[in-house]
Amino acid sequence: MLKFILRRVLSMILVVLIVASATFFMMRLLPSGPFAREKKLPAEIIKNLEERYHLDDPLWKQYVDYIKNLLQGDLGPSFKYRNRTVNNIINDGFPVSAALGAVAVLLAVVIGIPLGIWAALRQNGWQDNLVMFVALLGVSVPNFIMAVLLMLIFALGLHVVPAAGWGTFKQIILPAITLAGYPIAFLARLVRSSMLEVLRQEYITTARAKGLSESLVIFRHALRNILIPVVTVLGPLIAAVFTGSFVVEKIFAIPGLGRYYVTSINDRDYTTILGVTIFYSALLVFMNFLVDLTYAWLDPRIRYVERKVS
Amino acid sequence: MNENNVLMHIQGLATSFHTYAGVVHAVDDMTLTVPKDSVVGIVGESGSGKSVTMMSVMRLIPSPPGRIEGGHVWFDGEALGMSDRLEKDGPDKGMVDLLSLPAEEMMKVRGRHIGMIFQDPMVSLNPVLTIGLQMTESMVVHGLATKEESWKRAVDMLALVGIPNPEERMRDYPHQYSGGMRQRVMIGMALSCSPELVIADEPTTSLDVTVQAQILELMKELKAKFKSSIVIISHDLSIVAGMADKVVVMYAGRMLEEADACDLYEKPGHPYTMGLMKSVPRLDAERTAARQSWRRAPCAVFSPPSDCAGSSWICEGGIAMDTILKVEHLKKYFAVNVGGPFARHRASLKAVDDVSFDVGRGETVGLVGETGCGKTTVGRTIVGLYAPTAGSITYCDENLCALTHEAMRKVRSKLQMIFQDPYASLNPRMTVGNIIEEPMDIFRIGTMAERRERVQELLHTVGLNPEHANRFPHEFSGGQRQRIGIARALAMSPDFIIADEPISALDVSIQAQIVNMLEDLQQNLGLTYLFIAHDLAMVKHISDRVVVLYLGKIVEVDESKDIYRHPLHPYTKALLSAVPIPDPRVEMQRQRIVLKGDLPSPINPPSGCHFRTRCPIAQPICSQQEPELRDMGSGHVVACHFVD
Amino acid sequence: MAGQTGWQFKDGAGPDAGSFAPAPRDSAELQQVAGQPTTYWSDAIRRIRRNKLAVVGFWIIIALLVVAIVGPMVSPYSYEDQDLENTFQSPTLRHPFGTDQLGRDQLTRVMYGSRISLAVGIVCAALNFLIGVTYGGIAAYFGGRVDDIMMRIVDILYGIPTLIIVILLTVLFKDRGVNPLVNVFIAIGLTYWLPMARIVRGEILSLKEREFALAAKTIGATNNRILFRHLIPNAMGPIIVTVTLEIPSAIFTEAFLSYIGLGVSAPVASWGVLASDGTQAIRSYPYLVLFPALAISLTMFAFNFLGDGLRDALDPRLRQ
Repeated sequence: MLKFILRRVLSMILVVLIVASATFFMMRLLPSGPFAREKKLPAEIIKNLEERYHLDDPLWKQYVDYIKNLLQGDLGPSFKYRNRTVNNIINDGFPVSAALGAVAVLLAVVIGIPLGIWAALRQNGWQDNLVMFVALLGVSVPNFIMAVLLMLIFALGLHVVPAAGWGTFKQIILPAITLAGYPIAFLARLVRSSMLEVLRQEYITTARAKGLSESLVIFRHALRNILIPVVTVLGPLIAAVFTGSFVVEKIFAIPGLGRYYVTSINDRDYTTILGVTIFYSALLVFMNFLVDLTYAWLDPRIRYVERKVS
Repeated sequence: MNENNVLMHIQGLATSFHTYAGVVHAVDDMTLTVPKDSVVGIVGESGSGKSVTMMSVMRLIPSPPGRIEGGHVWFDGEALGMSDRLEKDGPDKGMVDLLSLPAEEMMKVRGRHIGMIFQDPMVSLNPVLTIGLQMTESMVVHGLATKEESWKRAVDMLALVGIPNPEERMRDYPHQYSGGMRQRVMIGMALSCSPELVIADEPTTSLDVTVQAQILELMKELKAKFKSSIVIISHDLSIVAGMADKVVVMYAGRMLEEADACDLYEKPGHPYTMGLMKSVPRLDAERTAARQSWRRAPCAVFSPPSDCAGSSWICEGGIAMDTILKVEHLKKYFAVNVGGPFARHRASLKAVDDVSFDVGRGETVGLVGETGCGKTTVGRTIVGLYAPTAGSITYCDENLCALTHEAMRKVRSKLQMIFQDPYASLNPRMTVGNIIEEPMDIFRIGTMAERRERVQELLHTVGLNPEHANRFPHEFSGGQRQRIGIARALAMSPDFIIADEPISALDVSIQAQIVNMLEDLQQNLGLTYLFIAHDLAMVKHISDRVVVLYLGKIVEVDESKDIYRHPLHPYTKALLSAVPIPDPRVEMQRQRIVLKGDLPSPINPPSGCHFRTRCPIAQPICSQQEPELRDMGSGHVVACHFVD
Repeated sequence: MAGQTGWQFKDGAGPDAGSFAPAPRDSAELQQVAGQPTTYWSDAIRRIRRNKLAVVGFWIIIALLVVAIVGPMVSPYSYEDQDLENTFQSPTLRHPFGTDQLGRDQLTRVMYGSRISLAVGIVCAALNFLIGVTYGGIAAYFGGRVDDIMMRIVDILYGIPTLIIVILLTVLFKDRGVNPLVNVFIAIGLTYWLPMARIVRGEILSLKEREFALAAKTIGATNNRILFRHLIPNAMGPIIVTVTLEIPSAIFTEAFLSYIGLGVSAPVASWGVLASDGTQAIRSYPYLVLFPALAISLTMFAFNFLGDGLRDALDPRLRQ
């Protein structure tokens, strides 16, 4: 077990380093220097800036320096906001995004899973058809469209919640629902189909043949088995929530990391793009690691299994 | 109280399945009586409705698409303790109709009064719950014991069904048990509430023959102990022969014949039953088809003459014994990952470990052994699907292992294979014609028209309508598909065919057809067979010589007529005695050697003699020294320290 | 039901007819064929026809294609004609979807946008198909070390959110002056093949152990023949489903990129650009965002309906 964790941690670090290097060189491949977009700066000032950010060093030295700093957790200064570092930006933005993301994932789990079970138990009934239709809509509507539509209806039309901003409970409702929409629909569909599959298994018949009540059959015998596929998709799902927050934060004017990221892309703020990209990958790699651990905990076969060869 | 000593009486039961293809009447007007303290066997082929009948009794028919259309299932009211639901009079006085019980009442019957054992123990236990929980829950649910008491009882029950260290093993998960062990757990689970009736639905079909013998013994023992009635469902007449007092034959959802077990086996009344009996090869019968002569079939005209076909082999009377295939010191190891994702390391699985034998031209050699003994690997290595780890395979004086890729492809045309699963071995996206034609296409034999003609001819040879060449495999039944597979193997006019369990996926009556056809083909085309199987009775029927494998090693080789009469190796003896004989009188007198335990893992085989862990006559020397294969005269070879 | 778990009935549930030993070589029963003369594909089409949503999705897609091709040709306006006297017109008969801040006809622009979206969907799906099938097929067929390395690369790429890769690639190509539409093709085409590669690999891995593949080997078939005649045709079901479901995600990604200002830009009208422009004016002129939003959603529904139906019809095992 310990060996497994150690190996995974090492490979996680490796992945993040690969992402960091690839992104670093990609940014340097851009034809215009980082300051070219600003209105024609005098050559003097550009030179000063380049010196300040060590852009006049040879490329390999810049790279080695960057990786060195990265390993110490320092993502460097922002090119755009002269007085802030990328670490500052992440410190400011991430807690907001994390709070919003956590609410969305929670909503997805709390609503999506029961909805899927409910639909499966009423397979082909009208409740099932309705839930599945709505879920299919849910996975189809792009998040920025959902955001705009929700804002149109509930904020600008019905005036029940504020259209934008951050800080109050009411302000979190629309963005959270927007972000949770896709995962809810996705989980409901996944849980329904795995539930139907599990209910066809022989061990469920065995449980029924023992005289167990239907609720015991579902909650004791089926639930843990359907959680296994659910856990495997949680990693990608969390990724979807975070990347979804790029536009949602922009539309609802939420001061989260996603909004900074989009802004930094439009400003070509290279160090911020680079730093936040690395941060996101590290976060997701870590989430996937947690998911794997949960998976092993849920499925006893993973813990000991020998691969069978006939 | 009913006077007739009847535990259960099924009357006019009808169950159907409403599928999009139409209504399937799986059970139609079925009637059956189960006396108290008795064993009733239900036999019939796939789809005869025997399982559906019992699932209807349990009211566990999946619905939709299934529906119980009518009938009654009367169950002894006294046993159920449902005095308010008793039938007042008539022949079923004092009984309760299970089909009319409300759902909650039925739940109290399941597990408590009727226990059930399913066919495949690998999928009928919940993989994510401990054995302990699954063993105890029915006792707790039916209020027979508290959690603590039921735990104790479950431990006792595990000990009773023969699980070593039951206390510890209660905390294990199903995947940590072997197949045979799981079936023991299933039996223990079914008996945990001491039900009046136990339904065993093909309880040994998915198990190896030595494990099957263990399970059947166990069921007999427990039957005596618990005084439960048993309904045993099987497609295998011989299993039922050893167990049942009364046998019911089902066909197309109805009961065809019901009789006392001995009477049925002695003088079957219905022609279907007679046919069913005849199609089962018996261990205690002599091999009848004597193959004295054969000649080359005229249909092989445009195939290229094989380089190795000497003219000497066309003979009349007597068997020409020039060796066509020689396997020497063959080894095949697979690299496997052991230990799951948390502690992975590479290990080698010794699927075939130093195997040598040879096959004479025109001969049929049977290769037998249990799952995991390496018999399939031997076959696949010979045809070149696997590269051998060591050793040599000589086919017609040519060392196959030394051939180049291209040369090997050429040899393959003379060395063909028939596969086990007729559903998986035909490409579902190709027409039957294309499937049979493909080998000729690959070797660019003949023109298109000639190949077409040859396909027609081959279809006719295997007894299929040549007009069906443009149909797809899924339109054919299992037996028909196996014929298509055989036609494909014959397309290149091979000399040698490896048949890898060619009949084990088929119903018994179809098995007989295929085996007879293989024998016919051998006579007409002068083929040589390597017949791989786990069914010893069938191997005895078809083979001239038998090679017995255990954990990748040969333990015994002999002429098939001799090996069944005088087996020398204790494993061969056990294998033979584990095979049930479809005759209750013979069954009752037989002394069984029941092997303990399961096959050890081939990744980590026992030291010395591989068989010593299950051997009834093992001595200290067996763990230290590996027995050599010794010639006992007239081709009888055996690997055991204690054979003289 | 012997020898089978579960309750599936094959066509003709009764036992194989036929007599017993000795077996007849030409008995009449053997000449009979049990099932309907159907193939895998005709069977799939029959099943998908029974799925109403999938049929609806199919016809919506056909309608969209017609609108995309014919719409801009018959419209009296062009997508870039400005009419500064008629800016921000509410929907009227002359301008059913209204006009934007430069007086451009919104209906024409939405119709033009469908060209871009569908083109993106089709081109990217085709790229994903080519890369994914080749990559997954090679990894699975050769197995061993090759498979280990190729799949480790896929695992690493999976660890990074695809959207971020697409964004970075788009920025890179955009600043190098690549045509924005081509840019979108490249960025999406190069990244979204991962699921395809995984699915193809999984399918081929299991198919190549199936007995029909072994049988092909024993009759001397070459590697190429086994891969292309036997394995890939049998994996076609899941492949088609994946392609159908990758089209809407490519359309979504293009709209997303344009929405945050990285995709195509004005005056070229992509739905993402229209929605983005509309969002700026959402408080005063909500109809400007409404129509492109509905257009995107409708397209996504249609492809997802169809893809879902195809999945049920072609491959019930593949689920998500």
